[in-house]
Amino acid sequence: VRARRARQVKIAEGVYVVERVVKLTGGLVRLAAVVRDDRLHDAYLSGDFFFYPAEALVGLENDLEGAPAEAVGLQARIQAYFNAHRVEAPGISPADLAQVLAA
Amino acid sequence: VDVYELGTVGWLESQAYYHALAYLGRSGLILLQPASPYVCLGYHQDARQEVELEYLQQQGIPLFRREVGGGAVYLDCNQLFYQFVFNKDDPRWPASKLAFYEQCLAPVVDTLRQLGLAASFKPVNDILVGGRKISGNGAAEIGDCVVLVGNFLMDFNYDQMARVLRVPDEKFRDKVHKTLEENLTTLKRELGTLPDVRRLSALLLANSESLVGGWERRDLSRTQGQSGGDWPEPYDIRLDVLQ
Repeated sequence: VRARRARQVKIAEGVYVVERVVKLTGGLVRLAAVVRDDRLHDAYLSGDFFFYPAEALVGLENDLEGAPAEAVGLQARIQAYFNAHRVEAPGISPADLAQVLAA
Repeated sequence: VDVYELGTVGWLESQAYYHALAYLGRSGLILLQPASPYVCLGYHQDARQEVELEYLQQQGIPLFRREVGGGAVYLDCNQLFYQFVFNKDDPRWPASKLAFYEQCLAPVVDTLRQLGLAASFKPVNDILVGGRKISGNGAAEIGDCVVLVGNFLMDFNYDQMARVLRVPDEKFRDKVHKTLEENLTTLKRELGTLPDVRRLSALLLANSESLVGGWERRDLSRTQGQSGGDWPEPYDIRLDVLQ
């Protein structure tokens, strides 16, 4: 993780809309999500990276619905998803993504 | 394997043909130039975050989202596109994307060298001359095919590229412009003159022949058409829908 920009809007106690932008070796990754009671909802990842197979990115976003927004658990979950769907994302590791997604 | 040397085609066709080949599961190489400029967005990019949509609309510059990752680029007739489409199951193509890039881009590097330029492949997907990018490339899996699309930058409109990218303020835009000039070069800049496109195409075809064991020239049939008359209105960027 080379650079990081973050913004969040508090909606109610324990409910935040977050945006994070991180420059990884594989490209710029933007996250928009809702964090409610420390869990991720409606995660949306975009950026100028490569992700194979491409449709697996939406699958990953869905897979993360309701996941605890905590780096260690997220990394394991993303790694499992990468393995199950044979994801290849040059310069973007599950650990990188977990850092972006963790609160 | 089929090769389509299409010359100059409509901007939308310059993206449509390789997507179509891939979805039809037909291997081939397409060489073409788009007749008019447009902006091409990477598959995973958020258009509103990356591109000055209002500017595109004002200028009548179309926007296309390709099914290939990477970043937003400004494309026009001063770029020669090569679009390789291969069947995913063909054992000739390595499983790793990095090796696939290396394999497909070797003939591109050779072509630049034959023009007298000290070109080199820079992983993952750049080709450099004198430390500057002279060719942009992206790979994807579309349908049952693997695709590699890229271009020779014969000349480049640095001003327009800096205009179409979304930036926080105008000072930042100047920085983008300067950085583009410092890090992106063109055949014209390196050779002092625009290269002959036909020669460039011929060299690339000869150099890439060994990838596939020979090219077979194909034309678009009449049913495939080249007129583009039925395409949607290109300037109709629906900002109301996007926002």
